Amino acid sequence: MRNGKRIPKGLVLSLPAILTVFSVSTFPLLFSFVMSFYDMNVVARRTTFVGLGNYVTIFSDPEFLRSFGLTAYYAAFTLGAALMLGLGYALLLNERFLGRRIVMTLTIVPWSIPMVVTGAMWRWILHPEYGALDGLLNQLGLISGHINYFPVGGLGCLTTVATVQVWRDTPLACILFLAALQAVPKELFDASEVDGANTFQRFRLITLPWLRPAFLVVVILLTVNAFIQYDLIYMLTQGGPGFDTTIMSWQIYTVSFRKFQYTVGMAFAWILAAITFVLSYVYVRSLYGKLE
Amino acid sequence: MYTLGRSTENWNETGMKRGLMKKIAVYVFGVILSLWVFAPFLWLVIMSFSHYVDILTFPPHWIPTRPIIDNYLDIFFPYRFGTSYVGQSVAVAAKILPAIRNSLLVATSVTMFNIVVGGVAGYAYSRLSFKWKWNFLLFMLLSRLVPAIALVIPYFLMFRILGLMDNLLGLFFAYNAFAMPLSVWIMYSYFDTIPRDLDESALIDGCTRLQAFYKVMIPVSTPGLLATGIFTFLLSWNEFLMPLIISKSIASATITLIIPDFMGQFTAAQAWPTVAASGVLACIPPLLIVAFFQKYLVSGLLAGAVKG
Repeated sequence: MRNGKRIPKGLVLSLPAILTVFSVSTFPLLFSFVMSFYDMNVVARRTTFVGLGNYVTIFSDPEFLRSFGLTAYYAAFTLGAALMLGLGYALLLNERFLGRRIVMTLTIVPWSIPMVVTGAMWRWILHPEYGALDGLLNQLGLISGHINYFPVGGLGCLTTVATVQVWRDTPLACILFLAALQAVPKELFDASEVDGANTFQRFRLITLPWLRPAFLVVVILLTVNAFIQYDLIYMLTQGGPGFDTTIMSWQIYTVSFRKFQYTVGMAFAWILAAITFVLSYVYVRSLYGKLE
Repeated sequence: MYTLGRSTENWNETGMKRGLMKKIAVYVFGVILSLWVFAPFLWLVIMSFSHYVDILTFPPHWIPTRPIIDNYLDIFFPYRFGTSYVGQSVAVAAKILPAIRNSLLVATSVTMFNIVVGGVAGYAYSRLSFKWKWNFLLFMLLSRLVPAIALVIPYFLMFRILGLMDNLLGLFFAYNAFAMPLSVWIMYSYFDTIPRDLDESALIDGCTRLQAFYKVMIPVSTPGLLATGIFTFLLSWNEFLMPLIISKSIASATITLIIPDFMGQFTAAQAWPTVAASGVLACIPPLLIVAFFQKYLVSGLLAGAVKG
């Protein structure tokens, strides 16, 4: 009788975590959703309901469409490059060789250090006058003079930032691939060798199918990483030159904290959040399908 | 017999040749990839021990002509030339140690809080069944992917009213937004790998749920707790956007906030080595984690990403 009325123990135990996440994440998110239908005049301290006004403003603004396109390019570039490098790296680390442990430890370094340090570091490496990369390329005799890594106009500048993102994300892809590779049963390889399969066939017919779930995880994680990227843009280009590297997150930041149009920023942020939610939904459905 | 023998011999020879070629390829690619991954960081470390004269030449000196530790001294003893010499560089360098203290304080408290609260919740999701359990787990999973930029604008508006602006407590709350869902998820996946018989036999032996939790589960779940703690600490230490919006002064500025500030303050490139030194200092906790707890870091990453 008493038991029937009691609050389930599991709920009690998980309540602190649920309340924490609700108050620091869900509630602010709902608050910003409500506010995205208002216009907030900071000077007159007045808030007026504008319905879908902010969303209309955003979607009729060519700046928004451009930032969306740039974000998509940024995500596609990082994804393609980090997937290939990460897979290559994982295949390499799956081999036995001297110093493998050290290489593996070094691999994680780019992913583990603060991204502002990564940004500062690469700003020096790619510096137009004293850049270390240019210096190295000159000494190797590959170029003479300087390469402009931050060209004005076009996608050149964004590609540079995306390359730094690849440097940072490759370890992530590598670790996830490596874990999947190490789960491939050795017997499968032995059996295929007996059956006369060559290296390429084994890779295509055993390794790749076995890596499929890991592929999906890496694709989603890297895409979300690219969509919410902010730190590197801040450190390397601040959205410039012009608007060349103004991806969505930077656009949201400038609209909110430089133009003080907080409610437009919140509407914009909700669009970004919606995109990551759709991505995570795909993620959940394909991986955690059993969580019905 | 003879032909068979020879063919086997040939096969072995080509096999060995192939093995050798493969080995060489592995080492060559290993060196190239390690360079691509590690050389940029190495350059940061070299810069931090260089005089700016070695940096501001082209091509730069890869090995400092006169290695110095002055860049670090600038940070640890900013007023070593007396307080009368207070240039802008000294003023910013003096902020680095307090900022590191702030970062440590916030990251440590978020970590502690997450280990306890996330651990208990993870245990509940793994061992007990209750209404809406799967919905709550799904809620945690979705919360993990809320972009920080979508949270900082409401924080900015709400924290002013709550008095959490420029306050370490404000950062503590904000960091939980990304840390807590991950901690719960990592702990849940970890507890799920521990055989149920273990705590069930403790229950049969007369333990209460609570006793079974801290007498049986806690001791065997150290790797999971370590993974949670390490992951939370790393994410909190590296966070930049939230302090950028919440922190206004050195009362709550984190090291990730001071480094861009440091870079922006100087149009003069002479301060680069000191900024590099502060960058190296900011990398020390992550590097220690990678060096000593790599296993737990990776297991946390996998639990947060793939394990269901």
